[in-house]
Amino acid sequence: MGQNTTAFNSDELITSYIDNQISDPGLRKQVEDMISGDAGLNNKYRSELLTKNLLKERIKQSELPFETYNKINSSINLLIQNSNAEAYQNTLSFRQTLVNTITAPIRFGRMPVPRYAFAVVLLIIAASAFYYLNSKSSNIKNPHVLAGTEKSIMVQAVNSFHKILDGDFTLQYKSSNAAEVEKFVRDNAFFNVFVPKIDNYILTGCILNEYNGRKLAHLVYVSGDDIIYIYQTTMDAIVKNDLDLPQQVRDEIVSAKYYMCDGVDDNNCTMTLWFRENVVCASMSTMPKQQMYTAFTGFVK
Amino acid sequence: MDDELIAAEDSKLDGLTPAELNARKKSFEEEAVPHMKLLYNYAIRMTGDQLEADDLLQDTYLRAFRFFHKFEKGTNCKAWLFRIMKNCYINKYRKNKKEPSKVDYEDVQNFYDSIRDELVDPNNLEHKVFSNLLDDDVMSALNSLQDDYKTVVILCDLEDLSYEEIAEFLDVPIGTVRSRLHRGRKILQRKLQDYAKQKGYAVESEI
Repeated sequence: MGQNTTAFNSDELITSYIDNQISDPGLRKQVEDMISGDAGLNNKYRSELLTKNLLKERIKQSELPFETYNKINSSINLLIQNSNAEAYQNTLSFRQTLVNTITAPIRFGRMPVPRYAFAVVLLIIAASAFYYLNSKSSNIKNPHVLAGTEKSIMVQAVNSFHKILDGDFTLQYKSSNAAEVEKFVRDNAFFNVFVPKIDNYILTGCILNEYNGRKLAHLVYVSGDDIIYIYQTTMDAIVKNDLDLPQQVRDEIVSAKYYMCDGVDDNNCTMTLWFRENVVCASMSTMPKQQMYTAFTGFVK
Repeated sequence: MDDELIAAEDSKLDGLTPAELNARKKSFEEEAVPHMKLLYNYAIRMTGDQLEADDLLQDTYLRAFRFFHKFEKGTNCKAWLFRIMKNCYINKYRKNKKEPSKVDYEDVQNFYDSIRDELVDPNNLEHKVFSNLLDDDVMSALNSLQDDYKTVVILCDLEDLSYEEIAEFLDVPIGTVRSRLHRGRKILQRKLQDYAKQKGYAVESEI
């Protein structure tokens, strides 16, 4: 024990001091005095601090790959699905009772009419009324946009695109230089935006804003009267549930590398979603789907 | 035994209604999923391999979801998840590698005792050793540490956990955490010096 123990304890006190784990101000002062008053302990302190800092500087945090997150999410969903199948079997008798109830006939004079017939007639009337009322007001067909809330990346991309078309969104940073736009986004939104070169289109600049604490970048390219708009944010926003992207869309992006659809607004614009490293991208264009496909495969190589 | 436990929990999941399952999933997404990136980084550093880290992370989260009813809301979910990952790692992954034997542990202890009082000029360390090492060298040195030391160094220096959180995670006293950290860094420092020597960079030490 004795002297070795004292040296041993001093070493560990230095470790605690380096890690800011000494809460007692008196003890902190004691350690500081030890370090400044003894050359050997001072060397130990600086060497250990260097070693700790070296690890922090050289061993970078890895981003969680989206495929990994998706795989885990799908596994949990499968577990739930299998459990639900079991629960469904247990309610079969209730279902059978329900079937019996709705098929039991009501008599109109001598003619028996099954009860569900009335539900079918009402449904036809309601569907016709719905179609009539909505036939001229909306061409939105994509189910994810129809069902999406304001948290949905797809809904946000559509809305932002329209704001740009209507002139409600003005460019915050005007430049046709991709490197300058990348730097602007990196300095102000703190992520590496993807600024592609699109044939026949000129980059005009970008807009930055925020939703639910998440930085969003909006790039605008023009070619005459045509616009290609690209909405971008970090994958982390989906992982942390600050923004939403339907599982079906994510699955398709992971397997096919992109998800493309039209019928996302009244003008039948085309939307394309893809992942680029750890960024989610959603582009909107007035181009028809086939034309957008050609442009997209050209710029996302 | 582990497979029996999981089968028992899966059977309990079957007894839940769809509404209860969805409620569990929603709560799980709010409490547990935000820590996934942190656990992924820990998994990568413990296994040293991305595919194994993916598998370890998946095992951890599936297990956590099955046993989520046992997690007490309001307590430290991060620490709970880390404990699950630690157990998954011990059960599956460490068994596939050479188990550290008692003799190996003694070797490490003896090695530490031999270098404990070594003094190195920090200026030399910074300018001649650390500045010439590649990131891969640093990673290799960390990976070569014995698991007990590697764990505390990763959790403190890379994951920024407090001594208290680490002690709770490892189920050891705070003093043990501090002692392992000190020794782990000392051994690591020596390994880095040896790497630098192998590469031909002069390392001076004063005794």
